[in-house]
Amino acid sequence: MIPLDPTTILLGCAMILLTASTTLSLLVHKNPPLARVLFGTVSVALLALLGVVAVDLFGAGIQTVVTDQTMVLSAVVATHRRLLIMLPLLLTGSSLVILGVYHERIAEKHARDYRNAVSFSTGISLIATILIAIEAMI
Amino acid sequence: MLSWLTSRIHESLAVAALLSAAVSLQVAWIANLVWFRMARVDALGSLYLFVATVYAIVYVLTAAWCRGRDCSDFRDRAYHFFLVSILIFAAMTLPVVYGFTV
Repeated sequence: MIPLDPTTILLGCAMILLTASTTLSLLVHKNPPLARVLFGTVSVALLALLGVVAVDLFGAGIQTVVTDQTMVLSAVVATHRRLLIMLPLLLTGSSLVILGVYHERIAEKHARDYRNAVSFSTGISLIATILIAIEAMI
Repeated sequence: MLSWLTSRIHESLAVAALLSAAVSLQVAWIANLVWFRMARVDALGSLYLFVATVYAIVYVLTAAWCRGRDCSDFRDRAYHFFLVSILIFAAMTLPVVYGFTV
């Protein structure tokens, strides 16, 4: 029986949802009803990221095998990924607030800065999550 | 009857979200340097709590200050500060940066 690492599963879910969110955020100005779907995907992605933090804080994840050659690198990337997780958490949280305020009106011209902020946030969160997932394997 | 409630956009909440995220990112990398210098890398839970507290405080204060005001000028500045904060956070949380020694 292969043990399933909850961190890997949650990061995978977060990556899929953030990819969908980034795509939707780029399309929402042409199709405003997509804002509701975008709100849903961002909220579930945020829950997945909070789950990653909870698993890490409570030590429920599977410990990776560390050799003498990779010990220093593992320690460095472990600290970096625990710092980096704050970036997608803050960005997705803020995106959620903006989408909750504007709803479908985020497609309007005056909301351009907020729409760009949501697109940028979901894109950067996706990149950060991919980086965290890679570092979790080291 | 309640459609006039949903038609209004409370931009103060949106601009507060942008500003509080930007401030929290700045506080996060500075606090990380302090935590690292104090050799508290194992107490990252306290760092998360500190950043979340800063986010909440800045959000409430900004939303209260912007309530009922025209936020169109503040919107641009908050957005640019938000973008710069992301870049600075990404750079200052690199291990080679916060782990430097003289």
